[in-house]
Amino acid sequence: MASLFKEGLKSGAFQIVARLVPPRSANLAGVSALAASWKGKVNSILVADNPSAIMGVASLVSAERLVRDGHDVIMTLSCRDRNRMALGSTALGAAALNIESILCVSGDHFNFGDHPESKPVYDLDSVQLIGMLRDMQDGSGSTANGPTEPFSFFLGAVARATADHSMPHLMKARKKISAGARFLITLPIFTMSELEPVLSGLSDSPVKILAGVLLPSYEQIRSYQDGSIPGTLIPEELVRSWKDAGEEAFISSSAAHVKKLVSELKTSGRVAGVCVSATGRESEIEGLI
Amino acid sequence: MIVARRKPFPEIKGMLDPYSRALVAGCGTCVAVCLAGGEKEAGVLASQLMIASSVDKKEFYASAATVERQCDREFLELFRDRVKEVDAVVSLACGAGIQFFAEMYPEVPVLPGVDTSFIGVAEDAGEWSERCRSCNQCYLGITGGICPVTMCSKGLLNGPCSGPIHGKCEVDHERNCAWIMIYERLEQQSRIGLQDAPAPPMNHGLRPHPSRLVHSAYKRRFNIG
Repeated sequence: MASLFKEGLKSGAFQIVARLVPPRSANLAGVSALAASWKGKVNSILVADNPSAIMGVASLVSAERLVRDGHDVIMTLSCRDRNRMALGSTALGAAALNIESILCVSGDHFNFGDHPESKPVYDLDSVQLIGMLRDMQDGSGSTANGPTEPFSFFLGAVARATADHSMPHLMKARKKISAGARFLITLPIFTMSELEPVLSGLSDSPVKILAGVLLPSYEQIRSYQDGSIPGTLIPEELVRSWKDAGEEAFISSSAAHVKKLVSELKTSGRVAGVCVSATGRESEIEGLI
Repeated sequence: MIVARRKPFPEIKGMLDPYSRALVAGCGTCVAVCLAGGEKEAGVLASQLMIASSVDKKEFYASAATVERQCDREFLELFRDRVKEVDAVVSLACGAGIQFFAEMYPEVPVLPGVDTSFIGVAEDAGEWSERCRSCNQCYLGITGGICPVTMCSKGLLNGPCSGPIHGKCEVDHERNCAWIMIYERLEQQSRIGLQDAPAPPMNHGLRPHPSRLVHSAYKRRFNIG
C-alpha cells in the first residue's frame, strides 16, 4: 500500500501531520480514539518512538494499529534504543505491515527520560540509519542481505530550523538528504522567520520540508528554560507572555498562536506541510488545523 | 592516560571485612598522576584502614607497596614476597592492572580500590576529562582533531543531533556541543569539505572484547600471520 503522505507530498498538496505519542500502557484504545478524531482533518499521523526517552508502547505496534484503523502513518525510528540489527528488523516489520513512511531520528538522550541509567545505543546515527534502510530497499550495501521481494521505504528525518548555529545543522541535513531522506520535519518553530536558515540553506534540494509546530503544555511553559524541551527554543518574549498569563489564559493564547502559525505556514507556499505536536493537548490539534 | 577515582572508604573497608592482613598495592603511573592510586594514596589508604580497625577493635594489619605499573608482569613480580604475607590485596591500579595482578596471584583475593573512569587528559590541577574511547578506528583526521565518538554524548559520526542549545550539548548545558566545535574547527582550517560525504557506520568488528594487539615486528614470535 503506497503511502498517502508520499503521494500527497508528490502532488504538492499541503500536508497536515499530527504527532501521536503512544501511551505507557498496554491499551491502545486511546490511540485509536484520538486518531479517529483527526480522521479527514490530517493527512498522516506521525507515531513517536519513546520521545524524550520516556518509555511507551512501541512505535511499530502503535503505527500498525493506526494502519488497521485506516489511517496513513509515519513511523518514527530512533537510533537511541536499537542497534543496526534491531533497527533493520523493525523497519522490515514496518514494511511487512504496510508502513512505508519512516522518520529516522537519533533520539533524545536518556538523560531527559524515565530511564536515565539505560545504555544509550546509537550504533547508527540518523544519517547512517537512512542510508542503511535505503540500501536494504535497493538490495545494495553491506547490510542489504538481498531481500527476496521488493519493498519500499519513504524515508524522512528531522531538521533543526534555527539561527542558533545553523551551519552545522545544515551540514547534517544535507547528509541526511544525500543518504536518502525525501522529507524533513523541522523541530518546533514558533514564528515563520525561524524557518529561514533551513529553507534558504536547502533551497537547492528537492527534499520536502515540513515545519514542526508545538502546542506546549502549561507544565512545559511553567518550567521552561532554554534546553528544557529537547531541540526546542521558544522565543523569549513568547515564553514571558505565556508564563505571565496564568494557566487559563495560556491555554487559549497558545492555541491561538499555533493556529495562526499553521495558517501562515499553509498560505506561505514556503513549506510542503506542517507537523503538529501537542504534549498532553493532542485533543486540541483538530481545532488548530 | 587512564583516569580513575578511589572507591569510597566504607566500600573498601567492607570488602576487607573477612580478612585480617591486607596489602594496599599502588600503581606509579596513570593512577598516580590522577591522585587515585599512587604511592601516596596507597600509604594513606593503608593508614586509614589501620586506624579504622583500631577504632573497631579488629585485629587487622595493612601495609602499602607501590610499583612502577601493574600492567606489566615484570613489575607485578616485585609484589611476590609481600603477597605471601597477606590474605587479601587491594589494588589501586586501573581495572587492567587489578586484573593482571589477580591473574598473576590467583591464590589471593585481589580487590579493587578504585573505579576506572576513562582515558583522558589533565585539564588543570586536580581536573581530568575524557578524550578517547579507544574505538580502534580513529576519526580525528576528518573531525578537526575533536573526537565525535567521545566528545558527542551520543557518539554521532555525521553531525550534531537536533538538541544543542546556544552551542551547548543537550545532555550537559555546561559543555560545548562536540559537533559544533568540529564544524567550527574544520571551517577555521578551511577543511569543512571533509564533512561533505556521510561517514559510514562504525565497524564494531574492529573492537571485539577482549581485544588483543600484536606489534607487526613481533608477529613471528607469537606465531601470528
